[in-house]
Amino acid sequence: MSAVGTDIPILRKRRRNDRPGSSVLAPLALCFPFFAFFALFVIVPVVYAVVLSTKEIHRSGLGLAPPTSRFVGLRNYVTALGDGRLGGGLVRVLEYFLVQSLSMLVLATVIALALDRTSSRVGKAVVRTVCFLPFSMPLVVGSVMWSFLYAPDLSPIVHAVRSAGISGFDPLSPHLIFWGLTNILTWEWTGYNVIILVTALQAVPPEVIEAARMDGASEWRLATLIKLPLLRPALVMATLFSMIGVLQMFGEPETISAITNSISSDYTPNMYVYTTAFTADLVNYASAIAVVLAALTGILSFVALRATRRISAV
Amino acid sequence: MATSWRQHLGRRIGAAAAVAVAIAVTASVSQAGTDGGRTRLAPAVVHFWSWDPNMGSLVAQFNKSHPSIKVVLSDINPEYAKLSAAITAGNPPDVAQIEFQALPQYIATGALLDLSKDGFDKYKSSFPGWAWSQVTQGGGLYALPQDAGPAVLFYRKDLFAKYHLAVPTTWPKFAAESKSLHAANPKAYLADFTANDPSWLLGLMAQAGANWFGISNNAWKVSINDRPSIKVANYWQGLIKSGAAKTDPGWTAQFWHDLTDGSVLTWMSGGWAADLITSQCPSTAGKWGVAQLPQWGGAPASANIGGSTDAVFKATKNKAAAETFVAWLNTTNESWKNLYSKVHLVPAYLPAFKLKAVNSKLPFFGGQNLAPLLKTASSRVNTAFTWSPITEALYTQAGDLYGQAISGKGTLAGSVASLQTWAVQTLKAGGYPVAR
Repeated sequence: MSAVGTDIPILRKRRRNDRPGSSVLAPLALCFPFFAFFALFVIVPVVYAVVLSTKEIHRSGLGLAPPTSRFVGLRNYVTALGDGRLGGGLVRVLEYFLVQSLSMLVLATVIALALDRTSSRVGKAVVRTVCFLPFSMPLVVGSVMWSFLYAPDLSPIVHAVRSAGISGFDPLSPHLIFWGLTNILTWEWTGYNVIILVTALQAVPPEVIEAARMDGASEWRLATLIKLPLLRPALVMATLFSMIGVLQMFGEPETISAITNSISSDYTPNMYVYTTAFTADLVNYASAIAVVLAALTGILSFVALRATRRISAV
Repeated sequence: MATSWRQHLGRRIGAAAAVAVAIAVTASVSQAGTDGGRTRLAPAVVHFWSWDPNMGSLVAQFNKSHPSIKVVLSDINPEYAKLSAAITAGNPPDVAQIEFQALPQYIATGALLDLSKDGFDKYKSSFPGWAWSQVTQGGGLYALPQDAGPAVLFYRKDLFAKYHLAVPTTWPKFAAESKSLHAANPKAYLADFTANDPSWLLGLMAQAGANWFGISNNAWKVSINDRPSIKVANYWQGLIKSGAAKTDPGWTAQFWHDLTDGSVLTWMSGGWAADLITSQCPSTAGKWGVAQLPQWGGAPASANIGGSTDAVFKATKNKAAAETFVAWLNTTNESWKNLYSKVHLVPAYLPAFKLKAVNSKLPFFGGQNLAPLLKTASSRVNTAFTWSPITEALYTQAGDLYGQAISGKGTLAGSVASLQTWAVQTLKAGGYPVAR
């Protein structure tokens, strides 16, 4: 009975546009620039790096003719996995993760919870700007600034500490450089994590907070028993980002290495890749190390996400 | 039949593309230039890569006096990473400035033109023996020496007077004065051991007779832990251990501050350092003096630290023009007048030492004329000194090892021994043949 179709024109329209293919094309076309850039600047270089890592340079005689590269399979990977400098760098960045990242996240959580508690708009804006300003500064600029703040005779901080009678304070010395770099990393990245956590806190439904207040919860119990558990997914994400970031640490130690004897060219795995590729001109071996680092980052991220699945919604 | 929006768009793009092509074709034709109806040839373009900030004035001077050639300067710093990538990609510049220590690395790419085939051997007598030997390999000439870095001793004349120090003419005297100075004033040091600048220490080792690399039977010889190197390493280890030498990294704000406020009284470096001290320590104007390096005894010796050459690439499309430019830049007085006064380079080209401009009395150095001093130092450099293709990596590794030695993890002599093993390994990893 044709009366059914004519009575419900809206339904009919929807059915016509439900044909597969016609409405997928537009979103795909709009997303195309992203896919194009992703393929060009992420996938192609990664594939190229993997291909490079399976090769080796071969020269004949003293090499007055251009060198050729030949396929050597997984030999570079075997060397990389036995390379003490890479292993040392990995252990070092994991140390930074355990000390710097975790303490920074605790600090960011405290700041985020305090910000949430503040009702003053101006206060909130000020704290947010102050926190976020270091992150908005280019990483190298921040590190150069800190290099002046650490220079023994130029730094007002070192001068103040010395005037207070404390001797031997040199953040660039071998036994203090870990804390010197930890300080720079915390200064740079705390704001970023505060913003993530503050945003997550704003998603907490106000009824829950109200209900807790009506039940007589103090601010402390509110923070630890209500807000913190609800922050878990965001905290897991922030921790994951911190871990990935620390594993790939490059800019800060590389910039500071110019003013101190305490940072070697292989201090972090990424610095080792950079030195091997662009100073030692061993692009094939550097590619292998980079692929090992990327694989390790991926594995650790996967393991971390799996392990925290129960406590996060991710 | 209604045309879809896609077909509309396609037509519009096609039309735009056709117009663009037409414009491009017209532009490239008109670039040849018309001159009252006749077309004149476009000047031969020579792409020149350098990192010296004031090289532009030299390029402008050349372009003005050579209207048939147009040199296009690219100021690139750091240059080597980009140059290596360009060579691999197959599009290097026509001419590039390359330091003496980095030249073997680029000779080994096979991308440099052998200038001896175009008559450049005639310039041999105009350059010091060490400079000519460092731009030749296996009978081929791969660059022209540009500027040199004869090592001399820059010292604070005023502070030497204050502490009653004589200019040290031997290394034992230098050590003795370092200790007595530091004892008199614990905040003052005669020298700063710059572990992060291995070229500095290598220069001092070379002055003592060290020669880390050589070529024999088409293979590289490595002798980093030779006796002169160990001797110099132990010398500085002793000074550092007794606290008489500072250990701040060089080339930092702290380093210039040390030289300005009198924490460090001397700097041993190539002649080009005069310009750096002038710009980085302006408040010390008139307080400096320059002398030859302290000696170990025997024939007077110096070393060369830094200095660069200019090389032409095989891939150049304007070989004659590129070679004309390289020859003009490095072997003419008109070029050297400005290379010295505007770019502050020390000539490798020996006749340039006769120029009035090069023999100016520098007020910053108490009215001293540095040219005779530098020329003498340059004549005392070991002509057999050879660089390897892995200098950049060698300096990075040495910097790491020296830094660790200073921090107490090992000794400088131990670093030199480790460097020997590392260099052999790295040369082999790079595919270079290493002699047993």
